[in-house]
Amino acid sequence: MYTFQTKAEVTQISLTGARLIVILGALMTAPRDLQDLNALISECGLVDKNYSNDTIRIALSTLKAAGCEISRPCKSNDYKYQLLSHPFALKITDEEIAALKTLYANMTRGSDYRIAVKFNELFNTLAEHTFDERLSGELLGITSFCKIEQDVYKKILAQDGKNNIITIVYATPAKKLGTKKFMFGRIFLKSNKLYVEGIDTETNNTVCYNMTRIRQVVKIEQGVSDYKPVVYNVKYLLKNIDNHVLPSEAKAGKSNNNQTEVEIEFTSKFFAVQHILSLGEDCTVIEPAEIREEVISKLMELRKVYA
Amino acid sequence: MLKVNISSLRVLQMLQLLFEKNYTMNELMAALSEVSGERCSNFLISKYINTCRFCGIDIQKIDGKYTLLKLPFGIEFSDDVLNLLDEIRDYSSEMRLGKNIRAYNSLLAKINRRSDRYYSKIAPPEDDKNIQNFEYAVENGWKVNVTYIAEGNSNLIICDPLELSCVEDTLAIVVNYNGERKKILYKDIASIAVSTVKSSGNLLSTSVIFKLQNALARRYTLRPEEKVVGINDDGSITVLNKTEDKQSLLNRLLKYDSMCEVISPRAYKKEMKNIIDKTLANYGK
Repeated sequence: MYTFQTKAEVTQISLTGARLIVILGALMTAPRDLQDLNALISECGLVDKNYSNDTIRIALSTLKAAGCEISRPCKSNDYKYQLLSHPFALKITDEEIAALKTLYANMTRGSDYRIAVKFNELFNTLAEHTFDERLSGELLGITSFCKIEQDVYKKILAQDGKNNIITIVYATPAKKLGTKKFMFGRIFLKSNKLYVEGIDTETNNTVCYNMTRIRQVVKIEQGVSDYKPVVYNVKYLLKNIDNHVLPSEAKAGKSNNNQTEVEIEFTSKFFAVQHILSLGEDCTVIEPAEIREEVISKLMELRKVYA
Repeated sequence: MLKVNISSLRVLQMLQLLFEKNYTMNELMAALSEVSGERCSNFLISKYINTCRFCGIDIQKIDGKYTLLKLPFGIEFSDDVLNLLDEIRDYSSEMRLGKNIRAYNSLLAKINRRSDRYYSKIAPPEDDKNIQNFEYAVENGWKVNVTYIAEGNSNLIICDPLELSCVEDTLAIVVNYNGERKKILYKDIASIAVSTVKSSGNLLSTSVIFKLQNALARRYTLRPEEKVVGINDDGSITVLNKTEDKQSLLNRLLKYDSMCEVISPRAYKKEMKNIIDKTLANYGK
């Protein structure tokens, strides 16, 4: 942890100050007992002899006087001193959190889910070093990944690039639990939620699961074939293309009379229809007929709502 | 009374000061003297700095100020996160998110002082006059005069500035104009001037109420600007949205199909009906 200079390199130092920094650093990394702390000081070569327990206790009192909160050693914590908080912690302001929220929202919109995962790691690290529950909660809440079971999060993320067969316990929005078995396809981010997509092994349909609702990864088996999801190659005419935010995978084709032909591949019929509906009157689906009919049917239902 | 070692306490107090900002020798002497309640000489400060350096804490004099650059027992960031910090810096700088650049730079400075590795790449501050005027007006509650180009024509509007935002990879300003939120792409803006009229901020923006049916109500994630104002017996919920701009809100609500219904204001309800009719007309229905 330390890269001590030799004493000859520095003319004037405070040995007691150096001892305190060693103890502070040691407690910042893990709870320690008096023997651990003494051993660490000896290892650093600060002095040739061991300190008495009283000397170490004075150092601990000095840390407390500087604003550190240190737990008393007792049986329940294995007679170790634990640093509960310290004045050197990151003090993140509300403005900084607001900036992180804005930057996260903008940088992850329409992007690969991996950037959101990196953000999540950053927020976790910052939260870990902020001794403020409210700020820590705010940081962890930016991605919403803290709502995913950590074991599920790790296991599903580790599947990326493999075509394994996964069995999960999944809770539906009505909170009914069921077992699902599917061939892993990909992970994607939508509306700040992580989804895992795959092919149901029984029905051969493309399925999407919100990772927040996966309660457990029960089994992971080696896949035997390549992942080939059903793909909806959707073509539509779009008016006023500049007024719309299209997914990065959208391919804009020829334009005529302020109408542009757009082509996008969707692996989910649900998301394809949602996307088209959100474009409103500017969009007319050309193909496939299945999606066109579904859009018309949804619009007819909507018309009844506003009749 | 706790028995403490004064000399080592001063080392920690000095370190604590350097965690907050960079100091010249004179400033550090004055600050530590104030914190400790006793005069701290140049000799003592040098001794304390040497003590920190001896323990591997990198304190260097940059532009005449003592600067904490590395803490051997500091925060361990993975390579992925360090790359991300660079990406965020480049993005915020490229997108010219003025206030966000300043806030992010301030966070980066704190991270630098607490990292176990050298990391000191700060984005340059935004120097665009229009952005500075816009943010000044937001912070001080003034209206703004915005001149922008739309369909080849130059328009001047006097409006309440709300925030800087991003539309895909383009910067936009969000304003309150005639009681509605309006986004104007930064690339279309010719000038932004601070008006002499006080802003009414977001007070005049329209409150939109919509209802979400059972299945959607259970899985819907509220946006920061939304709140549930009613939970109905049939499992549906009523949501109030105060700040989303009209077009983005209606387009978003459309995708929830018949599981979502705009309740008020009447103008929004009417517009929703018009959009549905016009969209169906595209299919000859």
